[in-house]
This record gives sequence, C-alpha cells and structure tokens, in this order.
Amino acid sequence: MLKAYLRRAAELIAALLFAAMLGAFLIQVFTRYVLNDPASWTLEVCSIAYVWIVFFASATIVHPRQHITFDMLYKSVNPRRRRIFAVVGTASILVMFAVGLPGTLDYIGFMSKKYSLMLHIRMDLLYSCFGLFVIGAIVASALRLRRLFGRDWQKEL
Amino acid sequence: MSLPALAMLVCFFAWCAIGMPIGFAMLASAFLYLLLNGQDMGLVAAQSLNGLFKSFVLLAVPLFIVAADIMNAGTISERLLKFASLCVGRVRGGLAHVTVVASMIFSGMSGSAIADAAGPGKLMIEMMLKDGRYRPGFAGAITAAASTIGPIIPPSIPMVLYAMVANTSVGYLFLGGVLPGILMGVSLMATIAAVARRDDLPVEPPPKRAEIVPILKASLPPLLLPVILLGGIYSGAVTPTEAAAVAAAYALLLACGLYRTVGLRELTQIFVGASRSTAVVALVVAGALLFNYVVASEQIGDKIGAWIASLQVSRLEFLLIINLLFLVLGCFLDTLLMLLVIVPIAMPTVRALGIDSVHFGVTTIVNLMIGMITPPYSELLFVVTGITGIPLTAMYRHIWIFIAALVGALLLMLALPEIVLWLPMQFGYQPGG
Repeated sequence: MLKAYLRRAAELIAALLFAAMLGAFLIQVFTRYVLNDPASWTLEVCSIAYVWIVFFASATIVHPRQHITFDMLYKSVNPRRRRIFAVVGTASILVMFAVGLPGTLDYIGFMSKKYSLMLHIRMDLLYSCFGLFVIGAIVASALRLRRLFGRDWQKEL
Repeated sequence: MSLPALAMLVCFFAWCAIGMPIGFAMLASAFLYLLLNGQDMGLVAAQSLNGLFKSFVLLAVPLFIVAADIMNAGTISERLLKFASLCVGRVRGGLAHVTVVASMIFSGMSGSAIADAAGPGKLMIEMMLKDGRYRPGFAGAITAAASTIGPIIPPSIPMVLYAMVANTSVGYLFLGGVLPGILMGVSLMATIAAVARRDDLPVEPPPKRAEIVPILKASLPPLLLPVILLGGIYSGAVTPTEAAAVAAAYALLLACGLYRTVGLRELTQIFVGASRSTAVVALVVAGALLFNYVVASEQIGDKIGAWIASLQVSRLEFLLIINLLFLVLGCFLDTLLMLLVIVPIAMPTVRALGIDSVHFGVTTIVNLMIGMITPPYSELLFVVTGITGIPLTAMYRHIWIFIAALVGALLLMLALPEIVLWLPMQFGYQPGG
C-alpha cells in the first residue's frame, strides 16, 4: 500500500519535472523567436530539470529490468545459474557504489561554494540528485540481495 | 594500456555479460578504475553531472522522445497511415509499401527506430494481418526493417549522441541523413516489389473518390510537422534542440487541442514514460562520458589509430572493414553501447585517415540500425514481438532479404560519400577529416 503510494508520488514528481523542462524550453523558443528578447533563465531550468529527471527517475521509477541490459547470456541459463549471476551483479553494484560514495559526497559538498550562473542556486543542491542516485542504488541493491537469498528468490530473476 | 584500465574493461564486459544494466556496469567499472589508479572517486559525479548539465544538444533527446510518444498516443500515426495508403496502396503488396512510406514520413518527425516500430509499425501490422492477408512473420519483418529508417531521416536521437561523442555538427548530420534514408526506403520497396510478384501479395482496393479529400485534409496538419521541423533546422533559424521542443509542442497542440485525443491523465502517463526513457538513455550516456574519459586519458583510440595508419589501408578498405566489424558486433551488442563506447574508440583512426566525420557518422548509424534487426540480438524484432505477439522465429525467416537490401544501400553509401555529403554541401558544409 505504502509502496504503491510512494511509487505514484515518484511518478508524479518525474512527470512534473518533465513538464517543467518542456515548458521552460517552449518559453525559451517563444521569447527568442517571437519576442526577440530571449529569457536568460529558461535554459538553466531545462538543464536542472534534465539532470534531476535522469538521476531521480533512475533511482526511483525505472525498474532494473527496464534499464538497457545485455541479457542474451542471462536468459539462456537455468534459474539456479541466473541467481548466481544476479547475486554477483547486484553485490558488485553494492560494493563499487559504496566505495564510490564518500568521493561522490565530497565532490557534491565541494560544489557548495559555487552557484549556478543565472538563478544563483547553490550547485551542491542541484547536484545532490547524483548523491541520491548512488545512495538509492546501494539501498536497492542491498534489498535485492536480501530477496535473492530469501524464499521467493525465483521472483527476483 | 595500464593495469587499472585493463581491469576496468574486463570487469565491464563481465558485468554486462551476467546481465548488469549497461549504465550501472559503466559507472561501477569507472569507480573501480579510479580506485585502482588512486584517483579521486568524485570524478564519476563530476564527469557525469557536468556532462549532462552542460550539454545543450543532449536536451534534444528527451524532447524527441516525448514528441514521438505524443504522436503515437494522439492518432497522428493513424492519419499518416491513411495518407501513405492513398499514395502507394494500389500496387501489388500495397500495405507493405505503405509501411515503408509511412515509416519514412514518420521518420521526419521522430528520432528513434523503437518509436517508429511501436507507433505506426504496430498499426500497420494490425492492418496487414486483418483477414490473414499477409503472413505474420513477413508483416513483422518488413515493419521492423522499415523502422530502421527512423533515425536516418532527421530528426535523429542517435545522430545527436554521435555529434556529442565525435564533436560534429548535428545540423549537418541531419542533412546528411536525408538522401541515405530515402535510399533505404527505395531499396526496401524494390525488395517488396520482387517478393510481391513471387508470393502474389494482395492489392488494396482503390480509394473511393469521396474519401480522398477527407483523408488529405485529416493528414495535412501532421504532415506539416516535418516541414516545420526540417525547414527550421535547415534555414538555420532554430537549433536542433529548439526544433525538438517545437516538434513536441506541435504534437501536443494537435493531440490535446485539435484532435482532443490526449487528456491530462494520458499526458501525465506520457510524461512519466518519457522520463523513464530519458533516464534509461541518459544513464548510459553518463556512463559513457566516464568510459570515454578513461579511454582518452589512456590514449587507447590514438594507439589503435596509429597502428591502423601504419598498415597503409585506404579509406574505403578501412570503412569496409570497420563496417563489417560493426555489423558483426551489432548482432550481439546494444546500439547505444556501440555508439557511445566503440565509436569513440574508432574516432582517432577515422580522423587520422582523413575520413569525413559526417559521412562516417551517417553510415555508422545506418550500420547500427541494421544491427537492430539482425538476429540474435535484434532490438526491433523484440519490440515487434512485444507489441504484437508475432513469434521471433517467424520473423527470422523473412528478415534476411530486407537485411540484404539495407546492407546493399549501406555499401552504396560507403562507396559514394556524395550520397551522404551532397545535401550538407549545398548548405555550406566543407567535408574534411
């Protein structure tokens, strides 16, 4: 119940971000070609919405199997071997992303001294979506590993 | 190549092979490289964020995605099909020809082969299968083959990505795709004509006189879109990214305003779907930015380029060899992976041999699109199976003849660069290395 609710909320946020990106771009085209006085802030709104869509959606509404995957080998082996593949792959993401997390957070923290050009928003706030994405991937991998070792592991493949 | 780079490549391919999403495998192997090299791990965040945040041209990708989604949801594809049917429906194998023509027109609005197959392609297959007039395998195969034209006739998402990795002008690439796209369509239609005589494919009844004007009227607004889009880009008035936004706005206007087939609920769903597709593509782009950073700092491409240049191959020989390599790899690898990882490795060689980057880009994308219909890893046939339920094996039997037709068109483009470069040159492009 809560899961479905959260999912719906995440979808709505993604849709709103997308609408904001499209809307800002149209304002940009309109002010530039119709009014001959291009708005300066629109492109930045687009770029901000874009990176947030990418990393927010990747962390929340994109299912692992919807990502671009090379699955010829994965699909051709039996479920027991597939489970081994899934465990190794998921554990690798967990380990590598956990190793990369401190450096990632350091970089985002370092950006707190910088501000975006037009809207003067602190860059660490804008870039925090990547931190969320890395943390999200770590948490999702840990949960998936638990399911892969649980009783219903076949549903996870 | 240094040891960390080797470890990164080995891990990357191993992770991909066991089914880890390609974008995650790229990011994870980049973390590994930096760790082994003792470099700052924050580089992953820095490269991917700055790359996505500062690339104006990349913004065209989500806009083209959403434009195609809106057109597919808003009966716009249907109207185009009726128009195409009016043009070529009455010859033998009419509906198969209609599929190709509709795909070519839709190509002028969408930038992705998948959108082509999922939108007009789906409707065409339904029409061909009605009353069992066409065999399902043939219907699926021609639809998949025709949708490869989607990213060749501009606009084109792969061309935007190529422009980013090869540092080339998107506008000239778009221009360069027009004639090759038409050539692909003609070569598919010639193949259909040959098959139609052999298999005695059905002919469509001629349209009634009273129907002609309403069909033309109904298809006029969508047909204006390619004109607005391409006219805008070619006159230099708007950038490809702005054109993408205009395309999305025009599709929105037709679907929500004029035809009223898309309401707020559908629109929200379209935006959610488009965010998802955007994220999936961009994650691979972000990974590729890191990957190419490592490839560049290890000078892998330059070393390969120097080696190939020392072999004294001619341009055409090199193009034929690399296209053969891409065709073989394309049977197994994902198009985005090829475009964003393998192509950048080849770029220094292309430049060293003095091959024009627009010619190389367009022919490579044609090649990669053929890879999308070559078994066993044929993404477009997967899409067709997914939406129509036609078994893959049934399509495999019919797809080869269309692959042969498209490879023939590709060879022609490789041998005669003018097919690609003539139109860009009319608009001031100076071919070079």
